[in-house]
Amino acid sequence: MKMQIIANIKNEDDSELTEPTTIEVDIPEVEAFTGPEVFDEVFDHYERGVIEARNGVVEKATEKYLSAVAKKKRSQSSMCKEENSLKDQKSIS
Amino acid sequence: MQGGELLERPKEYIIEAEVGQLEVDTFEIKKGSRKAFSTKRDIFPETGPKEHHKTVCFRELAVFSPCDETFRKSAQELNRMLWRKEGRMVQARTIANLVYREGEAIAACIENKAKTILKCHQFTDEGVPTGETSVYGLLADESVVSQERVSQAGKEVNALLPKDRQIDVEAWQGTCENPAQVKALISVDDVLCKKQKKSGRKKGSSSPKKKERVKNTVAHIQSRKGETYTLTTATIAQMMIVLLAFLLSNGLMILPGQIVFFTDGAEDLLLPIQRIFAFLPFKLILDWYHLDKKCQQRLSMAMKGKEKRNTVLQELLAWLWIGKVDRAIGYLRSLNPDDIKDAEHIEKLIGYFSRNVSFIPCYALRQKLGLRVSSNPVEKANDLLVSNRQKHNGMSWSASGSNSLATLTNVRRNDEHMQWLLRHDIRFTFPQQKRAKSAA
Repeated sequence: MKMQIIANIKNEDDSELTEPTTIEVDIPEVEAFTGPEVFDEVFDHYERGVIEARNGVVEKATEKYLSAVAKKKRSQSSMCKEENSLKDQKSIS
Repeated sequence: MQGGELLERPKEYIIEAEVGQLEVDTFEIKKGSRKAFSTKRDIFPETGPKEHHKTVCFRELAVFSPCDETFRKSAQELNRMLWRKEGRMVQARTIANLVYREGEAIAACIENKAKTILKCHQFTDEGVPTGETSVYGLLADESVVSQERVSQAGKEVNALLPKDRQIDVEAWQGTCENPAQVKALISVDDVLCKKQKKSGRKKGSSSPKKKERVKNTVAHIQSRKGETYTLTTATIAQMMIVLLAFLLSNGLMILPGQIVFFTDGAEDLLLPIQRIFAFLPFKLILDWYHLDKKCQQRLSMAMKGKEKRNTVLQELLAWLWIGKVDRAIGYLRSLNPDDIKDAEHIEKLIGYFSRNVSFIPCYALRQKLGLRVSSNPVEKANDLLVSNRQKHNGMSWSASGSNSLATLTNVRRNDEHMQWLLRHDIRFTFPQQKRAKSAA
């Protein structure tokens, strides 16, 4: 059995900021919970796998998010520079 | 399951997990008045009323973090780590209760394990052998350092000593165990913590004259391969039984050679050792550090002035270092009465030497041969298992609290915590990693 975790970062207008991040993790079959004596061991297998996957997917999604931040800021600052140089040219002429 | 009345109980079973506090629906199938199936009984582990089940990941954090810091700090860190919001926060008291319960459960598990092992090896629950024990004493006397090595070491020691202090090397032949041929080297000690005051003492009432203490007994076991394992119990009597079971279950008792005990000479340690291990030859060595300390303490109270004390101490330790206890006693008896402030302490020191004379070896010779002269491994274990966490200003403990915390710290130190968390069982063998390393 698998658990799929998808992290999707969206803008206010519901458009996607980055492509979704997906991770799949193996989890124990429902039938593995045969009784109270195995519950802790089976659930531990589930919990460790899921926490690791959760952290992994959030890490990847955050990397994409920050890359988008960096990209946006870079383009903004280059646009600002272009505007400033145009202003300078105008003032000279 | 067919037939019967299905009852759904929404969010009835609560699980404290690292992924969050989970409120899980439970189901019951009733056939008449009989419960044919119950999720709470047949799938999930049973819990007490209002009790939340705790997962292995959660327990790993909640139970073992208080081994290093206070319950309050542990609770704060746990709540921060798990992002618990108000109303779902784990309380310090909950963690303390969990620690006490787990510690007691581990102690009970070890006690049961010890009983089973003792029974399998034909010992009573009290550690008394009921079967043949001659196999345990095999080659006990032969597993000593060779005569040539002892003679050589003796010569080297004597070369540094004045003529009247020369050691009789022949007398010490056969007394120095070969560390590669021992069953085990065992250091045992007690560690005391301040006891919690009983609640209900009236304001203004006089405090008890004697400071009450909580005791933990710690043992450090070292095999001939260098593997180590530590044990903690509430009493020395329990310790000896658990220790015997450990030696039996790990096959150390059937190894040829001696068991060598290192102790501080406390009577309450010596008697249980002698009682439990009476069926085989073993060696007891008085720790040099404690012998030195005992002399210092007694002489400080017995002698007039620091200078006189230091002179006597230096001479006394010089005799004891070469194992000449009779000469040390003779020296004490020959002290000038004018230099003595309280002769009672001199007599007490002589009594201490007389009681422990058979446990005082020639430390100089042992050191030359590279043999252990102190019980420092257990002193270190005391610090790691008890003192570092439990002996700070303003801290006081109930017996159960102190023992539980020491037990949990010890389980983690022996690398058995995951086995306990997952299977509620203790491996009761030397840590795997260290075994692999020593095998390599």
